[in-house]
Amino acid sequence: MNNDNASTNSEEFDDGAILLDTRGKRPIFFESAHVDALMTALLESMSQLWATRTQVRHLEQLLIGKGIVGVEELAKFTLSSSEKEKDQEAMQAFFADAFRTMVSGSQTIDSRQAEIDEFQNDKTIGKHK
Amino acid sequence: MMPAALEHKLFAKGTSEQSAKQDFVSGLRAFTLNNMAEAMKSRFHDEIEPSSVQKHQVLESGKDVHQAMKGDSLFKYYSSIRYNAQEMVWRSALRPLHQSKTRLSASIAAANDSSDSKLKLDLDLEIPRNVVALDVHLAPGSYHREDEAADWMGGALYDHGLNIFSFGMMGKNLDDIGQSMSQYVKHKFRSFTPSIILDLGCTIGHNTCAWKLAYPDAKVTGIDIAPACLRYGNARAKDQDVDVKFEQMNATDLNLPDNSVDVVFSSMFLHELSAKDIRKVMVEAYRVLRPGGLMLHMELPPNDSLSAYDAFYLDWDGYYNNEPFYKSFRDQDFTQLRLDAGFDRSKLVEFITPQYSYMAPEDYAREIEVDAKFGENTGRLAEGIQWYGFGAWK
Repeated sequence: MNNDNASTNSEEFDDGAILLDTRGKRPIFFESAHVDALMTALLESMSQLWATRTQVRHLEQLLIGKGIVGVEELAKFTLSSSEKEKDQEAMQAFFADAFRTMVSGSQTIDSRQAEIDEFQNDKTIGKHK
Repeated sequence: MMPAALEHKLFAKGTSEQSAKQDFVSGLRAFTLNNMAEAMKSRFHDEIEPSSVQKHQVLESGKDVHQAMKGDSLFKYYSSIRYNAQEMVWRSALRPLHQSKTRLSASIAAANDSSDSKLKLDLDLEIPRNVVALDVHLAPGSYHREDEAADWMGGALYDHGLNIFSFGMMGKNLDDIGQSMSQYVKHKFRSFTPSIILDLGCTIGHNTCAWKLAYPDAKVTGIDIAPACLRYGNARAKDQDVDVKFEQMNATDLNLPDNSVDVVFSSMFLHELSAKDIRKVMVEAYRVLRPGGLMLHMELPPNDSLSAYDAFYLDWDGYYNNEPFYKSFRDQDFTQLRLDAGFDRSKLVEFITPQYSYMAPEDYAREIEVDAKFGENTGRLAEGIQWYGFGAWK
């Protein structure tokens, strides 16, 4: 067990002393750097959500199995390989949900309005022979 | 596949929350490099390419495809996620490492300061510009990073980061490249029994150790210019009870006599160098090899073996992952490089091998009897990856 200096199983931040950032400027992939910044925020949020979900699962399993939860027990607990497999499947599905908009078709709101207008003005719709 | 705990005592496990975040990054990379990459390729072939043809735009090279893809939404999402994930690889590794600093410093010092230590540093050696000028692979501090009271941090970060980065595809000890290359040589050239093996740009020696396992009687040495990697690598090998040496040396200027080595090996090393330095490495390899010795480099496939799209796909790392020579390396004529260094055309070696670590030995032996061709997953971290090796006998 190499869980060094941990007094809890949640992450403890003392980042002041750690060099975490890469040197240099980040590339802007989207039309605006703001969108790139939002992507970072989104992915970090997803990471935190995933970590929290994992911890909840750990706690649930411990509560079901033992009834009492302590720091020591949490530190020793790991999921079985079959449970981990299930987690991996769930994670990939999670990504598919979160990124579905990126792979689907999209259009500008002007194009959308024009399409709806065209639909509304289509005299052939609702006309009965 | 997902990363497991590294099987040595230098592994910094972190809290359960930190481990879950590392799993997340690995899974994110697996999803991006498999599912999103597939979707992006379809987008290119179904929409971008036909549209370019209609406009009489030429898509003959990776550069052409890059230009055509830049405005596509999927390319933007793919790139943004990959870039962020790369940063998250290092960030998620650094916090547990920082928390484990005291224990790791003690373990590494004990291994390196012992009387039987196999570590030899030359701290006056200049660390070249391709390492210090930018954070290679976006790793904060690059290969040579040394933190206060942790002069091994660059090596530890490489080990822990690679474990997250490779989402379980590099073998349990992150040594699948070394295993696959050494076992290929052992299986294919059965009468060849090297006694001196040299691994250039070995970083933490994960692939160096694989050669010792393949040839237990050989003297195996890993060299690198980054003391941080070598300090950590020597302690890592010692903990795993693998008898290899580590020496600080620049592969462009080997401190070794002529005709003194049987195998000169490198893995994913040449593409980190300028064209000028690659030529120097080849010349040095030829010089130190004994007649009958083998030079072997595991590398990215050359551009002339790739479609324009696949070249574009590999170029991503060059432009966005701080690997400035990723493309220029693949643009070179690999045959001419070897001939210019002195190797004979009739003695050139080139092959593609499946991953040794994930196969039964008998299946591996059978599979390498069939000459594999370059495919879209040659040298590319994704399901079905194959490793590419090229070199020459002296």
